[in-house]
Amino acid sequence: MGSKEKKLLNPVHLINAYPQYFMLVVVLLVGLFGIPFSTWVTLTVAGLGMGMMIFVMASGMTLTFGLMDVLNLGHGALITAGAFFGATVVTGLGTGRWPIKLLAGLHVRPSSQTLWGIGAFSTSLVLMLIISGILASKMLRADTKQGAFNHPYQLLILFLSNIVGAASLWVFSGWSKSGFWPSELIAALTAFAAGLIVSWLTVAYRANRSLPPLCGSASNQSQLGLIGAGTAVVSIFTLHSWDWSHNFVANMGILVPGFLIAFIGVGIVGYVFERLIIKPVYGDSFKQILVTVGAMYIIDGLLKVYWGPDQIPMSRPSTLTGGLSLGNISVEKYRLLAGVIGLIIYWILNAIINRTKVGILIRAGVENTEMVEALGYRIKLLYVTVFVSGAALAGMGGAMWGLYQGVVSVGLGSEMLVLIIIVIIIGGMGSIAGCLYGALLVGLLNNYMIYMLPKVALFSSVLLMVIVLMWRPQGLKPLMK
Amino acid sequence: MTCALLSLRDVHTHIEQYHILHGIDLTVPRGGITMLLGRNGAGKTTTLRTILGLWKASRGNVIFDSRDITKLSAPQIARLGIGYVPEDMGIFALLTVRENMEVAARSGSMNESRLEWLLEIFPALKKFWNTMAGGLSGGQRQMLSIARALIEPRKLILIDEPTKGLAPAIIQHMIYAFQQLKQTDTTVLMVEQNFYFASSLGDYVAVIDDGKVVYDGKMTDLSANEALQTKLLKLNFDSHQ
Repeated sequence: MGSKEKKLLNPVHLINAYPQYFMLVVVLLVGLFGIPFSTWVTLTVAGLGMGMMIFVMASGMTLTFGLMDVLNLGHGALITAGAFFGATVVTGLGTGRWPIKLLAGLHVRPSSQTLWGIGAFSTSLVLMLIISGILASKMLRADTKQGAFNHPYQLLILFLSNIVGAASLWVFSGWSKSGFWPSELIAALTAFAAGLIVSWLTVAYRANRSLPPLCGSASNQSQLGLIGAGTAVVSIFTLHSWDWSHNFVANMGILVPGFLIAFIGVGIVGYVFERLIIKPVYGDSFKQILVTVGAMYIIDGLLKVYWGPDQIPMSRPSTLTGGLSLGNISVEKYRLLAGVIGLIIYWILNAIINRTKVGILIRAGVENTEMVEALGYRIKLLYVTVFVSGAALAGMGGAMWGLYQGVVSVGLGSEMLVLIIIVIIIGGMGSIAGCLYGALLVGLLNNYMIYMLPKVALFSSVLLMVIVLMWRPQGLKPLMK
Repeated sequence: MTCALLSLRDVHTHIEQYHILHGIDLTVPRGGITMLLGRNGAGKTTTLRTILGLWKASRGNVIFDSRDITKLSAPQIARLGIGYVPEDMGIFALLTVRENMEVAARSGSMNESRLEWLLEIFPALKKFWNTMAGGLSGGQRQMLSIARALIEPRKLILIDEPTKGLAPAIIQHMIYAFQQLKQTDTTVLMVEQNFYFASSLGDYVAVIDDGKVVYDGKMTDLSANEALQTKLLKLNFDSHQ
């Protein structure tokens, strides 16, 4: 057996090479030995779901610190803002009441039926895009040049992936039950058109990392023709109010806009925050702490001025309350969903960091900011992009957390801030993967301890951080070695 | 007369309370390699960094291609067509060789024929294309740093001590690489301590001492004049005693 093979089987070497997996296994086993199996499954899913939400909230802060050396203690306020934006949209959409004063003043009050319809439709579309996109990107070969299809089998795969996408839209949207045949036709055409867009973008990106010119080839032209036809059909029927059943997709139609608006809204707040608060104090950690804490108070105050000091309820839609049962194992639906959403966000962030030019620049900037500038890039622009993205993620995480808590109040973000700092320290500053593992560990341990040793649960996260720091001061999966 | 691509006029640079450059007057002719020689601490690296805008000149002017770039930021200066190979090579150890090259390709994608040309000059980069740059040897890192500065056509490349810490065999390879580079339109301003390397490649030479240019002219003149070499480069030995 060679020395390399011996090293791989050496437990000490394995633990040091993969500390994040070792810690996860240890925590899972602690729960497994201390908790009855069915309860352990419930708590594990709950912990992973909670961890994913914390990850979404914390990812922005770790990126900001890793790249920009900026400690933003106002991050909690951005989370709270996201929760409020999310709550506004969710309660507005759910009851047909439009609480935003400007729109109320304009007497824009779409019926809840229409809003649910639009929400369900857009969610189905997103779902379908993800399915077609994944299928197309996995199966099409990277040697496709200029976005055109050189081999017949590629066209066939593209066609099949769009059929699958259309079928999923048809099933999930509930249109299959509506008994109205044009709706099924619309579903198929929309899915096909949207799937073509995704496939075209994916293939072109894989081919030469940039989009090919529009109408560059015969196959591109046919794609565009279909996209145009599909879009025209969709736009004719979009405003019609369907009789939606309150199924999962319709409920998602409330959440998805809520999360998206929290994402975009807090992203905008983040831009203003960076220009006004952060820009003057780059490089000065002490001033950053003072200024960002001050900003936190201001933002919390502004939220109270607009939404009032009372708590706002943010109740989950009907299909997302309660749990799924298998035998005597039950799993909370919302936490399962939060886990899936968190995983998708992690996958997207990872793809951006590792496969795009911006991601390369971020990783290069973390290592050597000056060299990135010497290569001709305006690093300050990158800073703004990263900060705004981090704020947007915080907002979305806040909306997800608010929905989980069921109630939104001004202290929501500040309560999470200590936990978030613990998570990014455990994971390693600046590391997205580290942030994920840190968040999962904190979520799991918290849920296990609430069952096993409730008094320890209060400080279990701090205990975990102390243990990790004593073992690996750089964190479990740091960016810099 | 060869026209100047770059000129420094009475350039002073302060780093905190230290006055490093005391009025540099330097002209870099268009085309060919200009060597910047001098003892440690003379201000050679500071000169390069001031040209690129990484350190700001407190007085004087830096004129590049008939444009005053003294007040511009480093990214703006780099975008005018100046490449930089720093003394510590400045490679990104956590990125692969491919990613290091991609960062340098500001226009979006790497020109395939240009990349092929560079990989012919530096075959080690092809071998370790998808390896983390941190795992390369010193010589390979230097090759990557130089290749990165050349992936896109530049009007001027600033190179800081490319042979530092390298084995003689690698230095020979570097000489070959720069001879290839000489055949393109690129102007090079290179800081060097190795006189053999400098005299093998340099077309023009400037010697800096105590933050001022004390000699400038053709490399052939300096190489032929041993007394002058001793007078200028003996400063190196005196300062180490």
